[in-house]
Amino acid sequence: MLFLAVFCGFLAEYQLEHKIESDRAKQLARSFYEELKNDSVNVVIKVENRIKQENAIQYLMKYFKDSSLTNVSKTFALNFLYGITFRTPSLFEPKTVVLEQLKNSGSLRYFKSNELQKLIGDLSVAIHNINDRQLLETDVRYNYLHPLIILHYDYDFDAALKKNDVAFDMAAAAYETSNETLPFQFKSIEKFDKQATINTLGLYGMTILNSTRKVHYQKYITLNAELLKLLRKEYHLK
Amino acid sequence: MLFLAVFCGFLAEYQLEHKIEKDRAKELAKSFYQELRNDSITASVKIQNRLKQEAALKYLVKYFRDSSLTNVSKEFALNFLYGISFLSPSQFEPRTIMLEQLRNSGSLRYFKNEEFQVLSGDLTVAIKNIYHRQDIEGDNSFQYINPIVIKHYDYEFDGKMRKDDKSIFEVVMDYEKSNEIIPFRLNNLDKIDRKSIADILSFYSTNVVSSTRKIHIEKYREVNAKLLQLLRNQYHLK
Repeated sequence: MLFLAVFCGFLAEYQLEHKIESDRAKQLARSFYEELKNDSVNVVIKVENRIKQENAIQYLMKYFKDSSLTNVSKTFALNFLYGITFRTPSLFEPKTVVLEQLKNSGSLRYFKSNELQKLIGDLSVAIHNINDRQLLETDVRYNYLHPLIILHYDYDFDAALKKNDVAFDMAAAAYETSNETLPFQFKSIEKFDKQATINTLGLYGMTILNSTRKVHYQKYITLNAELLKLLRKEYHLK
Repeated sequence: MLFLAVFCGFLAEYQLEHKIEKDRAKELAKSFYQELRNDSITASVKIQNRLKQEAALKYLVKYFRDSSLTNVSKEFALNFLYGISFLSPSQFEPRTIMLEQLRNSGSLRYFKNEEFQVLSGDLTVAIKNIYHRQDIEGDNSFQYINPIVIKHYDYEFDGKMRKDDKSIFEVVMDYEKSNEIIPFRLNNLDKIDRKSIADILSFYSTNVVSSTRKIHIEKYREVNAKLLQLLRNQYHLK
């Protein structure tokens, strides 16, 4: 009887260990699911902002090719803001708290599904690629777009736009929907290099921003959706 | 009898601990094996893309040395894209989620094999070297290649090619296969320094792109293959 009692004790411990692991897996799955769901909403907003920025850049490339820079319109000023000046609205920083925990604490082993583990690895790479890519964008901005802003942007217009200490994106959105027209003077016209500016905007807008959205963001969106679906299926989440 | 029961209890617990560790090692080995296998496929794809890029750069070096730049062919435009404009297709980002978990959670100790531990260390170094190397590639591209793109690339050609919402890589592949010819005109022909461009492209191809492939990615593949074989032998994986 004594041996049987000890043996049963071990069986119970073995089962308890399994139950604890399974509970932990479920808890982690739920947190990870929430993290992914929030980011799936964020990334859609960022994609929309990027499309707006790319369109603004395309407008400017066309404008610089054949239009007058002495009297520029409100549309030009807005596209200058959305295409060249703004950066933050198009930056996507995925949350990685639970993902990092899964990687660093050894908790990934609680997820028994091979597919889930592969997708988590892929997601990690996709996030790394997005971060790399956004660093590249920042470098290009710093070296090629900032000189354009310094040389040609109208900071009187900027001050008039942000008169009530409103955040720049809110100020631009309010100005876009209003009937007000603030004068925008394209500075240092005599130093303007048309072809170099068009190609700089081409490099930034079409080669870099557009590719980040269509290749790297899209990869993240696909993986995020696949992971959400798999977590829903495996852990009955809603 | 009581002493014997307690002693047997300890023996059983010791065995159970062994079993749990062995099970965990097998689970981890399986996941790590999958990660490595996926990356060995990805590395092969990236090598193919690099070979294509190197061939395109070689073509361009020859072209810039002795051919007419006023009317360039479809082949020239495609090689300009594959050799100069594209960066992502040749970037290799190995998945490291299992490797990081092994390192950070202390799970590496489940693998009693010394060779496995040495190879895991070698893999970590190989991956670090690849990342470092790709950073250098990015810097070189930024410093030497981007100015060529800004000065001479034809963004009208680019705009015409990106008609639909496909990524640039899909669009270029479609264009390559089609009979369509979109005119490509090098900008600022008068400012082209043939010798300097040919030298930059030779340097970029030989010292940068090709070396990463032949040394760093190749080293990764070698370690990856050894690890796969070891895991197959030790844990009977397929």
